[in-house]
Amino acid sequence: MSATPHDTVGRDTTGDAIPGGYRIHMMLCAGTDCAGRGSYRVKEALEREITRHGLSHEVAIGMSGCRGHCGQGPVMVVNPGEIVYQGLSEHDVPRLVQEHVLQGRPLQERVHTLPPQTGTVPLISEIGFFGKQRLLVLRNRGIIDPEVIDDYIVRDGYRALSTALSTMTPEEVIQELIASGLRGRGGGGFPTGIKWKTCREAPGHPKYIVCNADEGDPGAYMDRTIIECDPHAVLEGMAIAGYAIGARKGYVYIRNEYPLARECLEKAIADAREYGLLGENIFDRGFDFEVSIHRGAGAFVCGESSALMASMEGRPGEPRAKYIHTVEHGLWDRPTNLNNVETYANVPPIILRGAQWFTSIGTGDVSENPWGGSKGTKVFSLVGKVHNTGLVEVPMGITLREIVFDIGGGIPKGKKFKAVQTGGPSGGVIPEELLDLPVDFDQLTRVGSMMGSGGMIVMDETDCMVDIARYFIDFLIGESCGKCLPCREGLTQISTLLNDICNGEADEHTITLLEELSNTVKECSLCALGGSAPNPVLSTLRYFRDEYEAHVREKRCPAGVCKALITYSIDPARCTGCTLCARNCPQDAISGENKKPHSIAVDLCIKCGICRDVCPHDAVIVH
Amino acid sequence: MKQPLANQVYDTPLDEIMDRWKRDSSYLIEMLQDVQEHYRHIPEEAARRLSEELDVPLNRVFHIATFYKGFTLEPRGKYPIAVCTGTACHVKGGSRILENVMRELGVEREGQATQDLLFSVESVRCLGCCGLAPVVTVAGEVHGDTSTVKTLKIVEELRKHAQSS
Repeated sequence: MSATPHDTVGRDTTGDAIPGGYRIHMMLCAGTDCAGRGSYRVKEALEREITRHGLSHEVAIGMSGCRGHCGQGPVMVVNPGEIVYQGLSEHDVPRLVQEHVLQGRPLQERVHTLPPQTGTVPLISEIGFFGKQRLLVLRNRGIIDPEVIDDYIVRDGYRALSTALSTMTPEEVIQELIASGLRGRGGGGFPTGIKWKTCREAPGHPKYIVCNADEGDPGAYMDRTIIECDPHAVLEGMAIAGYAIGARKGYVYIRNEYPLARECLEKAIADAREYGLLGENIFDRGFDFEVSIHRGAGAFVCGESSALMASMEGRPGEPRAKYIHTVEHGLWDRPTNLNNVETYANVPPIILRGAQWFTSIGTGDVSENPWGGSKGTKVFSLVGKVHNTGLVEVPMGITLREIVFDIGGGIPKGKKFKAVQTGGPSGGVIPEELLDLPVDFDQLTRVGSMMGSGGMIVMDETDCMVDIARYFIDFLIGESCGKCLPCREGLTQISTLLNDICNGEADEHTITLLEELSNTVKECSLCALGGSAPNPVLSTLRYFRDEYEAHVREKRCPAGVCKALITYSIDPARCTGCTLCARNCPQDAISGENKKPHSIAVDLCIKCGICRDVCPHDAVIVH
Repeated sequence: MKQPLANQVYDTPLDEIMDRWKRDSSYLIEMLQDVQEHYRHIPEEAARRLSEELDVPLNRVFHIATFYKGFTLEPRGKYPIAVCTGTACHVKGGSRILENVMRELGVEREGQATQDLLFSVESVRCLGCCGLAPVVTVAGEVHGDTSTVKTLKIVEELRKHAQSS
């Protein structure tokens, strides 16, 4: 498919005049990852250096939302020319200003380079990581300053809301959404338009709009990034939903672990209110809409609709039986429309550019049946054992191979790909033989995983699949609300069985029991948390049964992870006797003379792995 | 456990917190979050007073305070250490860091503080900066691409700093 100018990455500022009469525009990433790597320190250093050269009137320095290239931060894009710098530190600043600003040539050693080295400085669209992406939801990432509402407005911000209010009836908005085939991005994949229609038609007033930003899946941070790089897109989507459904009040339920996103959203709400884009009589069309924020308190189960609403009412977040739908009896027992952050962010482009345009991207046919395909794009957090960790937005139907190898750049340290895990604790693993699977809601479900909210964790040969299953089950034990028995007790028993396997205390029978119990928990749990909880076990059993069997039959962990089944030793051929391991060993289990190969006393070793972490020569080996 | 801080609970912070949320019991979770932030845990006296003032059964306050992971009933350390055990961090050794740091600081269970109350160690399920994995936060500051050894170095520095001041 050909990319139109609107959604080609980074098309925006090349050749365009830089606003404010500046000669050079530098945008540093302010996302949590880059900030953690010191992007604000780089910004301050740049400002000092630019001022020192008396160039403040020529060079503008700003912060942008996340560009998604999180593994290489801090990232900075400089215009004109869309030059991408990565891995910057404040020490690079004097040379960067000298080269780029004064001499007019990029500072080569910090420019993103293409493997294999081509010697040229690539544009964003030439970098594999960016090139295969298609940005709808993240259309403004790295281009606008998320804290400046005017930046959003300049890029057609709030025009979809104005179009909806002035030229469309609420029913027409809903019809457009149904025709677009947009399905819930929080994981369920329920058609958004149908949900809106049900909520609009449900009796009871007032109605509420809720945005689920309680991003609980470990290894996923799409929603945080969307809010941090384009908060107004979410607010605009919510306001359009309010108009379509007949609600005047919206809430964003956001994780307390995301302070930066919350601040960003608070500012966006205040600014939108000041501009009259939220509040009373928006665009003089007699439509009122307010948004406020609710902080979560740390409970994965609150991603479930009825639990989330219980939590918003100030109660423990325990789900209730599913036959009462929250679209009819939700918050305060009123009809409530709950969508995920990414779903709302998809709404403005659909209204502006039409359902037909949206259905041109993605898989299947939704003209008759809204479940007939997966349209649009999906944002994934591509993390784990992959070169380019970060946030990517790809058209539905792209293959896993393209995501992991073309965008992600493959597996680091020459290791072998083993599996990719999608769908968080409710999802499953997908093995190498299915790498050419087109990614959409139905295909992922078919192979025993699920789309989920968009976490995509790449694993290599050193990751033990039994350990991964145990990891997710233990996660879910901690997060199970405890209301229904299959989930509360069943998961604990599954964990016991998995522990037995990892500790080498299991037999063939354990695997059978594990399978049976998993199916029982899946069938009998009250809500989706319990119903999908055994998925990590069932999918690892489906594709990596041999690994389970190695643990059981040979008492061996092929990936070298399960502590009871491994031993650490030092390869004398590689050890240089630098003594680093011996000095860091908490058990004093490593001995040896300076500059001579060391050895580990197996009886003292507690297998903490510190020696392996610190060894500069990869001489510590695990059997 | 002996009840510390009883007098402190009755001074203004709690009233301020309740007023901030208009003494509306539907904001109980928000209030508890502010209490947690202020006292670094939910003191029993604070829970009792919230129950009385907002006319909410005490068992519901405790149900909430123990249901959500963000609340603790025992004080966290001055410098709380949170080791991310999200999936990306797990595959890059986060769970091992948690185990090692707990062992080295003599902390037996998650959420517990060291004897000098300087540090407490707990796991957190994904901080949402998976590109930095493995991640540890110490007193709210994010440390990416970390390891057991790097984390223990930060602990040592903070301990020295605390002893000298």
